[in-house]
Amino acid sequence: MAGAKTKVKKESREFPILVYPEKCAGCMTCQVMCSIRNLGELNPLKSYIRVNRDHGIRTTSLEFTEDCTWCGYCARFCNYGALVLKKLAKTENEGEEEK
Amino acid sequence: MLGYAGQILKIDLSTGNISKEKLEPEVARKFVGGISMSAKLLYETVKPNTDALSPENALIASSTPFSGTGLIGANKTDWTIKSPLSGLASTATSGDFGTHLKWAGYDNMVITGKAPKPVYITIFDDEIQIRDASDLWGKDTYETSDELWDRHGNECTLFSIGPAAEKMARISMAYTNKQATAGRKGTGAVLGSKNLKAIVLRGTKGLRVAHTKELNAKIEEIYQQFLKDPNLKPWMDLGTTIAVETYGQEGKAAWKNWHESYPPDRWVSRFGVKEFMKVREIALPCVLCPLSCRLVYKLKDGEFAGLETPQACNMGAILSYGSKFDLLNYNQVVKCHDTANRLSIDTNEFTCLLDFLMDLQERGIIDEKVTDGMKLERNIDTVLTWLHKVADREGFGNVIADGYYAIFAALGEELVKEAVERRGGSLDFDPRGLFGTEGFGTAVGVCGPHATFALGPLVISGRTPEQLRRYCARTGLSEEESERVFNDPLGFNIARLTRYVERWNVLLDIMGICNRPPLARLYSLALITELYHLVTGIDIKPEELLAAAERCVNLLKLFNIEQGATRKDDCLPERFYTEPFLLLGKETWLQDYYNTKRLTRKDIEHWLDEYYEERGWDKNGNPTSETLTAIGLKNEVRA
Repeated sequence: MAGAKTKVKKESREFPILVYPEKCAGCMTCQVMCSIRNLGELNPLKSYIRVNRDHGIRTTSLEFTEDCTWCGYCARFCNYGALVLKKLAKTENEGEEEK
Repeated sequence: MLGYAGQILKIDLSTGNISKEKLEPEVARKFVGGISMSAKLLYETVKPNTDALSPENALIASSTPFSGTGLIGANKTDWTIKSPLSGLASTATSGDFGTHLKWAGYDNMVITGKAPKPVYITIFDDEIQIRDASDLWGKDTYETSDELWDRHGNECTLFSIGPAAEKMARISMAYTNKQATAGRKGTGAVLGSKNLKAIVLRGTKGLRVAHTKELNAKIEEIYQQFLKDPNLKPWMDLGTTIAVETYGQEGKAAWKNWHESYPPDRWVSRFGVKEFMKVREIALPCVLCPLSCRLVYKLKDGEFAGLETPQACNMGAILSYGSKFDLLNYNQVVKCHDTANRLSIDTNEFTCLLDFLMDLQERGIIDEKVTDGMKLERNIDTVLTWLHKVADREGFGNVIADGYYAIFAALGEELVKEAVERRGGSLDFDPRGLFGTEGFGTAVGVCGPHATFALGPLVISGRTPEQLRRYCARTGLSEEESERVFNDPLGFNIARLTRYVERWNVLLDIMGICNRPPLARLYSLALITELYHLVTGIDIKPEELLAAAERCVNLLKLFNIEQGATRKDDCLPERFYTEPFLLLGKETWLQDYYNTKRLTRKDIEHWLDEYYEERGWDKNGNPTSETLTAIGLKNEVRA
């Protein structure tokens, strides 16, 4: 996950999302949907995923905060391929290895 | 008030006074939001005969009830001013400033006055500051944006201008995050006139809606529907370029001052999809947009190699620079686009004006003395030279900077008959080859000639009345309204249909819904009504939302009438009646949508009567007392 800073929880379950920051277009949909699911309000700058941008053009990193619940809800709304649910990736492309 | 931030931010740059006014619930319900709220604020803030470049003009930004709710494609901001180019109302629906404004705690923002020296404004939730911008003044739009991101953080949303706008060029724009243009008709000049270089915005207050779970379920449903669009992949890859080859082949790319359509073979070979993909680097969507018609260009080799620059509308760039100046390739188009954006010059206005002057010179009507001793040749060097002359207000660039009216004043009013303009502004495209509602809307649109209010299904040729009936059903026409629209020998009445296409597009603007087809198609009147309830908790009828759209159009019309507009302003360019143009090499006159007959002035005037009648306006285009009473504006308008 080049460029992605993901807090790996000390839990037995696997982080559910494949992360490709280089594909992120910066639409913030993941942040908004995270905030509505996890905070009960629409507040992207307080969500558990952060899209870090450079001068309005490129995403430098996708970062999950300590509070991330690993729910994977953000990935359901990424249309640019930057966040992909592992279970969907496996279903769609058996055998593909995580980058 | 759920779904709304509940406040209107007002900043007077003359006094430095900053106030936050409550958005009254009854006002929110009546005007709903977006462009309709802007129209209300413009009407009550800017009085008749106000100089558009004076402190008394207002820069208004409005979010919408759907801004920032997670509804995909509902992300647009309305920017409204009194235009320094036309002297009338001008609105632009662009960029995601409004979404962030709402997250910061404000539904609308009204900036008046003039700062004594260059300033920029920072809005960090409740903390608002007017700051010194002396060190930014003179920097181009991109340099300004980069500096402000470095200073205040990359998570900020920016609205800024470059040198042409600082010098109050009436053809200048302002930009959200370097690329989303709040323009047409001089928004940039209004910022310049206020000594306002930029606005920096960060919103962390968020937003609460009335029915979170139900809204979320709807968002998921809409998103899944969006993913099923069969044209999704080409739209995501190409954006507006999706129609580029058809445009060229149908002759919609005009050049030589609208005398000819550009040769389609040359158009496709230089600016077609294959060439576009060589310079398309990455997507650059608005906030909450899964489509991204916007992009970043990168020139990997050839002339200007290494140049990387954002673009909001590739089609606009090639229609403007590519065909008009017969540029050789995308690299040259991208360089011109980048230069104009940095200088904050409105591409469409500038290129139409330069093309106009080139045509006058090519036909011997003006000589080289007029243009500072320079021959205006159709190539990139001429374009770049005159972009800089406009931004610097150097020589005749000082005249071009202020648009058609300034050129007529400098060179003679008789040149009006040579120009294709309306209200001092340029057309977006040539409607003569395919005269749909957007063609008629070019004449009647309250913020015209930019015809986005009237952009509808007839932008594509060959639409049947049955297809139009489905569009009308989705967008809320009553049986009586449909009967009037479709009771016509042509199959539909374009004048009456235009009213309803405008009503629908204004409602989309009230909600901030993007009019790109894969997004706009997701929303019907019934769905918008349901979503408005889920967001705000307000029970509202569909007719009330349509009435808000009517209030908006009528208020903008009343504003224009107060500024001096009359029926004579609701017209097509004179040349459309007096001479043919060469469409794909064939002499062609203005003709109806199905090409059954040539359209004369009498036809258009007859349609204008029908359009006014459909709107409830008198023969002079004035909203009648009965109309204003019916839509609840009677007590709000000035006598």
